[in-house]
Amino acid sequence: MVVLREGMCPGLDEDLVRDLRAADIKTVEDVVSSDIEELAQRCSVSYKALFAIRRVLLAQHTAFPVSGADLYEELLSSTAILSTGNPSLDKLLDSGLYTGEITELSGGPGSGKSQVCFGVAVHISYHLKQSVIYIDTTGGLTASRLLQMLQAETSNTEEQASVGGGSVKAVIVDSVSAVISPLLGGKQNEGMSLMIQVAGVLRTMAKDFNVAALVTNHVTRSGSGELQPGLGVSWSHIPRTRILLERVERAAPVSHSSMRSATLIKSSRQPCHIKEEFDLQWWSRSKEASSGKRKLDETDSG
Amino acid sequence: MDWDQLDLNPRIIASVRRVKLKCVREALCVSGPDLQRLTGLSRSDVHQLQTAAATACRRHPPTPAVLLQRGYSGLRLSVGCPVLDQLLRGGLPAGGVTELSGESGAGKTQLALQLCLSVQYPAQHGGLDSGAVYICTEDQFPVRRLDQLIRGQASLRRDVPAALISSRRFSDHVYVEHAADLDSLSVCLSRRVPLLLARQHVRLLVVDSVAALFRSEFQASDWLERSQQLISFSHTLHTLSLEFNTPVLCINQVTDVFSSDDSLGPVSGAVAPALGLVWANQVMVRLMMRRLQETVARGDQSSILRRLEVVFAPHLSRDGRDAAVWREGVLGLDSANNTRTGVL
Repeated sequence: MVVLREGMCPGLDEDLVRDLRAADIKTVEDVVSSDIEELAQRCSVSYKALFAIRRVLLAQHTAFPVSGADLYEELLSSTAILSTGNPSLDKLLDSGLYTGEITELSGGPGSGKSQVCFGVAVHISYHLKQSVIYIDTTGGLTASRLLQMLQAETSNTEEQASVGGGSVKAVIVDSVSAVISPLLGGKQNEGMSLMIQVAGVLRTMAKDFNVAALVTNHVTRSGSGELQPGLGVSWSHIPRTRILLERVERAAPVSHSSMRSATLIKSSRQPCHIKEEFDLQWWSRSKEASSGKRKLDETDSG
Repeated sequence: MDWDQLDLNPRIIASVRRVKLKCVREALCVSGPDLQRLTGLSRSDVHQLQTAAATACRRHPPTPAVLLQRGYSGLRLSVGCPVLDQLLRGGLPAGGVTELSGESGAGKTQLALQLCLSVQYPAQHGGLDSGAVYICTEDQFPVRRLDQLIRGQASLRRDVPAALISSRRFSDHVYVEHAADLDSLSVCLSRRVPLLLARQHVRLLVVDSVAALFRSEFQASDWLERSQQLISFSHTLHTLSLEFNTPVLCINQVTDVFSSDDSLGPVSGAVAPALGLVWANQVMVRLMMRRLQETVARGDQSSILRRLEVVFAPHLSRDGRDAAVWREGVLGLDSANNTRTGVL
């Protein structure tokens, strides 16, 4: 809201500002949205002068239209895609987490959401050498698990100590529903507004600072008994991409399987409901077998 | 939190006081444009106000993960048995809600009583050097069993010097509360327990059991209110656990799992913890205790074999250990010095 002050545009002097304020017109929005004729009569100002002032204010304060080509160029140069480290998950996410967007990972208890978040954090900080901010609301963040995953990447303690270091490229919130769902429903009416406020802050942060936001959510049962992400329909518009994680129920005797299946339930880039199965232990598998730098083939010229 | 403690322009503080925003947290619950409209401040002033309020409310700045391991978040409460501690990688985590579910007679109350005693040892023996609060919702508190466990501590905890065990008066530090309905439970959790936690008399909270009150007080048609009560109850537990860095143990009952195909009747042998998805979402660590068919003997005692399993936890892999309930407590079995007798 921009408050009217004298000198903002030619013709807007102190007396006029005072008269407008007496008529309860204090901001530019009020001027633009009110009826000029009626305003001219109430403030005893000429209609033409008020009309000219309104036109100048509109020109000064409206948003610029941007051409689609410029927007595309800007997006190309500023958006980065962060791989999650797991090829199946990357395939679902159209090659990774996009900066400037919110991606949501939902699943039941024990489905592996926190483990995926740990794996993504370790991958981004070790392989991509960027910093990650991890906001933990459940108390489930344990440094020993992160260390375990990092030790599977490299056994060199110096390399382990020097991860990250670049600018912050990802913000992981685990989980956003743990703090918001107690506020929703019932007699409290602040819950919904707080949820949308948090969503707004996350979105502006992702866009302004060019970071990828990954949030986790719990699940509830819909009327027909299927699993659906929590926090309701209002929250479902906030993330750009949503993935549902489930345990893979096989008839095999081994019940401690680490296989999970991820379903894409909302995406603006890929067809929905494609499913991928992946192993939760992917991020902590031993990497010794695949070590060794690739040498560039030096072909003799001549 | 008083407004004077913030480093702000006095004009901003005066306008905030005028609108009767009593504490700093309230200013954070209102959105930016609402604050502008209420106080009449400009956008940059409101931004300054929100930044100062957020910095004041934040407990500590973000810590790099390297420093986490040495800090408070690695605190664990030992169970009192080295085999079970190895399963849990040290014991119950101090900052979250742990759930222990199982059929009746599986040994959940035994493990909870054992934890009430092991919390009283000093930190180098795996305890937290403080007492425990035990909230009973089902039966009377088993006082005689607690006495028996206290007498058996010397033979259970051989790693602790005997002088330390005999000098400690264990029963003085176990606070027992009986809650017959949800109202008395919420009064207890909101008034009495925070007082004990703040004065550092206790560092463990046990609720035995969660399912009893929520299953009995609500009919099938009241599921919405039950979910809301459950969520607010678990929110209270979480807040207490995180604010005072205390482990919370909730004991839960089980229900039969009905198979999804056409055969009527439950899947044999399959049970799941009660209270459904709403409660499961709030739990950080879920443990399950099962009664097996075999017995095991040791000396002159014999016990039915149990199995303690990790269903899910963010820092543990899914694994289990066999355990048995003896006179001195619950002990995990390693394959070395126990003889298993045949099937019951």
